[in-house]
Amino acid sequence: MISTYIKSAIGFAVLVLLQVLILNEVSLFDGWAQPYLYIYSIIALPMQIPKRILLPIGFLAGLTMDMFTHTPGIHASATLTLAFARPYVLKSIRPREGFESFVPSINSMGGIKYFTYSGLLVLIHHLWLFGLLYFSSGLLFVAIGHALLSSLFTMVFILLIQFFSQTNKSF
Amino acid sequence: MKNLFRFFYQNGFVIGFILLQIISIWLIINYTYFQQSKLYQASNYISGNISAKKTAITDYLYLDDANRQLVEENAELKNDKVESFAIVNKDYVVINDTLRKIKYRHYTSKVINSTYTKVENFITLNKGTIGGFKPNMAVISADGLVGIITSVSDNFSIVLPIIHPRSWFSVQVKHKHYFGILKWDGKNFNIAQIAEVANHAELSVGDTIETRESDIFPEGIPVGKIMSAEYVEGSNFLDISVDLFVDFTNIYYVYAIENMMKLEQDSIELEGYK
Repeated sequence: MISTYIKSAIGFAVLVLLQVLILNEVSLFDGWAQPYLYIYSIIALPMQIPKRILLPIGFLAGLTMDMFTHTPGIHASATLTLAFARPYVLKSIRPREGFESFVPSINSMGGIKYFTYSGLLVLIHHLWLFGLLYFSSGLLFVAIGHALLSSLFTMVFILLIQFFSQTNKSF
Repeated sequence: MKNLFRFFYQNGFVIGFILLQIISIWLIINYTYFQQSKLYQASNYISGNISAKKTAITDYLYLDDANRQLVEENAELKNDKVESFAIVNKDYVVINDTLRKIKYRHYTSKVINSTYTKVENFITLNKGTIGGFKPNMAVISADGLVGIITSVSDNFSIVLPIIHPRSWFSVQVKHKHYFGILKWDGKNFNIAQIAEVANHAELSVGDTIETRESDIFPEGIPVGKIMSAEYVEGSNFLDISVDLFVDFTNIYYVYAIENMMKLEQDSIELEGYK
């Protein structure tokens, strides 16, 4: 269990660096779609992680992002919401006998279940994030458009990670 | 009492969520206050250093554009040199000018990190208090107005660019002197809007917008060209769109301008408006 946490922590550090150094520069359609892959570190946390440490982890992950994007509070709030929603999303798609594996992945959950699980969480995070970013300007539909397109973009990266790590089960 | 404890224990997850969410919202609302805090400067130190390392690598990719910008600006400056002017009249003698005093001082700086696809965009510069940078200095590029410095650490400064919903600049129409306020609606990083230009102003598409002199900006820094100016039904003000001169996708070297008389102006204004 401890080694899973260490792996998660290393994974988080790698993802934040990847996000800050590369993905923050990446955008499609004149900036309408931007990937926010760092939230994968919350999505990929082990399933049995206690609920009470899930929230601080989400909050701190978002705050770390905020440090780099100079948007104090915005990523923290969105990632916190993601962490809050995670147990409920997992509960709603859990089969009756429960999942076997510790880590959510295509291997452990099956393709459709995993897509629903990660897709829902990404959508919640992005809607919340862009809602906050555009809150002061009141451009509701612009915010929703950004959120939907960016969700697709983020999902592409998440599924890519899944496909590449499928053979290597230890990740 | 026992029931109360049980309530908190059973709903700890929801209560924790609400508490942390309140902290987040507090951070968002106190954005400006937060920028002056030591904590924020410490985090700038870390993120600034990482950005500087990144720029050290990616710089080579943009040398072409950077060189072109510098060469173009050198040409402009050479045009202003004494040697570029022919003598037409020998009756004048140049004497050492004591009537003038330096009001604006320019500092050069390099952009080490910037965004333009987001709503809340920002630019990081590679100089801070050690280089003489202070909050509320104007930032311009060779093309025109970029933004304003909001916070500085020892080695880095954060610029609030035109393309940020919280920024606003006092501007005027060149040669016509209608005043307005430049803001950005968050949609397109090439286009900003001007508010508070009265209906009766006679403007035409293509008119140049420049900065109005304030305690921060010198007069006449180019900002953009008017793309459209429309009457709005029931409003006293025109709806003006401006095509910005600065290309935020392509910005490497900037100048920060210090107004040496800012303190004097601020103190007399403070007294006058009491």
